[in-house]
Amino acid sequence: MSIVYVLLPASLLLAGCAVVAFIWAARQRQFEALEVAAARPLMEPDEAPVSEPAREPPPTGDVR
Amino acid sequence: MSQSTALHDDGSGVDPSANTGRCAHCEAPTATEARFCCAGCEAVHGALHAGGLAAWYRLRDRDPEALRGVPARPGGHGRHGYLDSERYRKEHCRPTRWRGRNSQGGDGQVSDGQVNEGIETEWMVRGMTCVACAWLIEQLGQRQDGLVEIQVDPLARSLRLRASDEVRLAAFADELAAFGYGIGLPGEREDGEEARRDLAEVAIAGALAANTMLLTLPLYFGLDDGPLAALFAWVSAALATVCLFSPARPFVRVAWAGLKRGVVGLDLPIALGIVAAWLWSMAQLPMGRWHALYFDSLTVLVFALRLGRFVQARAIERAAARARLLAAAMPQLVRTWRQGRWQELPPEDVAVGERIRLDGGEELPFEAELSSDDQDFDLRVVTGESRPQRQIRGARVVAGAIPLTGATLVRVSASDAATANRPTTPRRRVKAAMPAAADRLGVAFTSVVLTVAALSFAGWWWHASAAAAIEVAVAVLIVACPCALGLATPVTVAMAVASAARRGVLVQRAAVLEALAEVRSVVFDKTGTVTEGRPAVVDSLVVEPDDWPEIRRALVQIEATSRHPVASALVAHLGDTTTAASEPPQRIQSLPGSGIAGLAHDWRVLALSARGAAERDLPTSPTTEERLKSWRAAGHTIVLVYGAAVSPQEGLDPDTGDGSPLDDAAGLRLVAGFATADRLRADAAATVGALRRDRGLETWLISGDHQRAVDRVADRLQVDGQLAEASPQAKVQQLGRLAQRGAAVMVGDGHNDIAALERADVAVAVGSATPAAVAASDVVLPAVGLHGLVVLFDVATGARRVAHVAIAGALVYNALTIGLAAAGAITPLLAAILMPISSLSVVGWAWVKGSRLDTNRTQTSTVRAGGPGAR
Repeated sequence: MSIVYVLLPASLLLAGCAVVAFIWAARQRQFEALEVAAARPLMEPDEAPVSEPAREPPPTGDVR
Repeated sequence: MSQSTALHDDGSGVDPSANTGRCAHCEAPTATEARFCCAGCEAVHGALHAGGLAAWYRLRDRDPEALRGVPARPGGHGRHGYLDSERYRKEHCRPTRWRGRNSQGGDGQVSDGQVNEGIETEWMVRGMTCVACAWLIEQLGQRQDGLVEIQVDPLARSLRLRASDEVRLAAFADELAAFGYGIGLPGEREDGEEARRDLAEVAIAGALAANTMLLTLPLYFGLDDGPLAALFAWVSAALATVCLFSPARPFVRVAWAGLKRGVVGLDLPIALGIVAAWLWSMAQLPMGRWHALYFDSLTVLVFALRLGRFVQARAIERAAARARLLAAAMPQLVRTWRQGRWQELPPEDVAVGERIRLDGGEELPFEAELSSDDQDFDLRVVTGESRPQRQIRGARVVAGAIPLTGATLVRVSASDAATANRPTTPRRRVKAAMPAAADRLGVAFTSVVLTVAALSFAGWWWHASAAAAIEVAVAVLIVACPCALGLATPVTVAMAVASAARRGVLVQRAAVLEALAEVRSVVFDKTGTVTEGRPAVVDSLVVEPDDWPEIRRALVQIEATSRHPVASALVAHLGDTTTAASEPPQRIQSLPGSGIAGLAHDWRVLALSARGAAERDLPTSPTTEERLKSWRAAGHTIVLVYGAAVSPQEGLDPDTGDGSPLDDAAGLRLVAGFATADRLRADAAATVGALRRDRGLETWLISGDHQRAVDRVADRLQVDGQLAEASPQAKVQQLGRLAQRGAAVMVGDGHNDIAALERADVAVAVGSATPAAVAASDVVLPAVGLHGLVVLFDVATGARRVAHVAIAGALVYNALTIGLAAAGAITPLLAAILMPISSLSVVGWAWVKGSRLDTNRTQTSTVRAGGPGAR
């Protein structure tokens, strides 16, 4: 059972690392404005023209 | 109206040729054939496609709740010069630095490793409701030079941006405004620092609790002696000590501070339990009594309590953030005469004595002296008066007044006046928050626990030993720690606030829900609160039906040039603002105090007040006189329309300004008449009725408006009492009188209500309220209308009921465990099992019940009081 003397500090160290990482993330505002981040994968790059927006005629032409 | 059934795919996932009866942009119901509900939506729809941003629709549809909530305020866009002023940079931005990218676009000049400097600032965004909006705003930001990073929070309706010093923020704000987003500045910079620290401490508490439990389990499962048991015990002692001095500190601190001031809340028994558990367990360590340790109970308890309070704080914060949005305003630059020319300055930089110029429709930012000709002012937000007031040259005009016609020159006479378009800091409310029901139990609870502990100590000492007595007394203190009790209220409040927010009622202060139970009277402001705050045409009569179609067109064009509220009401009633605005009348002449005259479509048209017509001796017919009399009796504002055909060659050349005066009485005939009135909100009477009948509340109508106007509204609403021509002080006094009989609610919207809102036990602002009024309120009803009041009372009653049952349940648990402890039957293992079970069951019950607060509504209020505002 002497392995416990190694494992216990190791596990506490790991838990400590997790807590520190969490606090770091909170400080970096990673837990704010979660809605946008959740939808980020849906925002495909081809829909986001960065430099030159494609100039299409607006779809409001009269087709009577 | 162009019924565009365009064959483009609009990305909305809806076949555009199929008419859904809903606007293709905003999904509001439309007229049978129209694809858009309004010109604005059509414009935005076109702009989104033109800019390659049609994905907006797909993102929007992810979130069916998206389009509810705070609506964009139409109009008033495009005036963001303040954002580029020195003043803004100094007061609303902070310096920031970052490494690497210099612009947001991925393929811009990437300069790795280089440290850039710039500014960071926050905006509130009106009209942003969902992820799609956030995406759109980010995309627009990418096209703006100098913007480095945008973080959009659609829930808080806020936007944080980071930019280089050269950025033109006004241009970005203008662009957002073109897409229907309104930008305001937060009155108080909410950095969220407190929330982040809170979250970090909850995480620490969670980690400590989990690890302590892990270390304690072997002891419970029979690990008896030996170095391992000692190791586990000592390590868990270390973890519990960290817990006591970090996440548990607030409880101990508050309890200690309360004790010093003689205030006993629920924090005292909590702190007592925590400290007793820690001291006792620490004392057992050197003796090697591994089975008498309470470290795990202590840490789990602290974690649960911190988590509960965290959830409550975030729910309130979320509702308050949406309310802050309404209090956020965009300061307007003021045209000031300096060094021989008009300069645009931030209002803070304008000094007393300087001359400023306002164009029609701009709000006066300061109290000032009128130095141009006599002028009509809209004083609605200042005094609550529904009719414009005439001020003569040299008169003092109050801040917040809006000149109705043309350019107005004033000399600033006081610069510190509050104005409607300045961001306001929500004031820290001074009135004592009512102690929460659970906190009121603090005294009784603590004394009972201490008594039981003392009695069991004495009993066990007498019958057994001193050591056994101490053990039992400590056990009583520990299991009495009112964890479930302490969680019941926060969880209920969090659920209630969230449920109210879903139904459009924003609660900014938790104590409100409890204060509402004590409320005996509700005081309403009139103009803008129970009425719509602007005149609308309520009746009309056409005398000359043959000429009317042509004169109607001319009339709309003429009235569209005026900012007078009655003129706007006529335009809204008669027609189509887009065509009217595109085609100005040939000539126009304002007739101060009586109306307007103009020339369009070969018609000379005069729109006059009844007095204006009488002054000019213009005729009315006996048949119309009958109708006019009834309108007068009803207190309506009357507009008479006279017309005379003119030949095109009649020498009325607009360039030379030549021609006879337009208000020449010759040839004029009465064509039509209109009655306008400040209409009641559709749900006003139903709301007042519901509050009186169902809740037995005393309802009052208090207004700065004239006696007759107040009488009429009071009559329609059936209120219990009324007060007309009331100054802000008079409102406060009346509230004071009502408050003697029990708590009073004030419902208001304008500058003149602010003092009363601050005095009231519960202050409610309606959606059209000025930012300052919103800031002074506890509850805001942005879009639901007055029916939100009924919702508010329903939620408060429901929450109170849920909280009371939860508290009762928690007390039963506590009585049980205290009894067991006094009998000497509690072991740390039993405590570790019983205490979480009691907390979980109470919290779970409050959670489930609280989340069903929504559905109670269908059975109670909507059926009886549901107006159009009820959604």
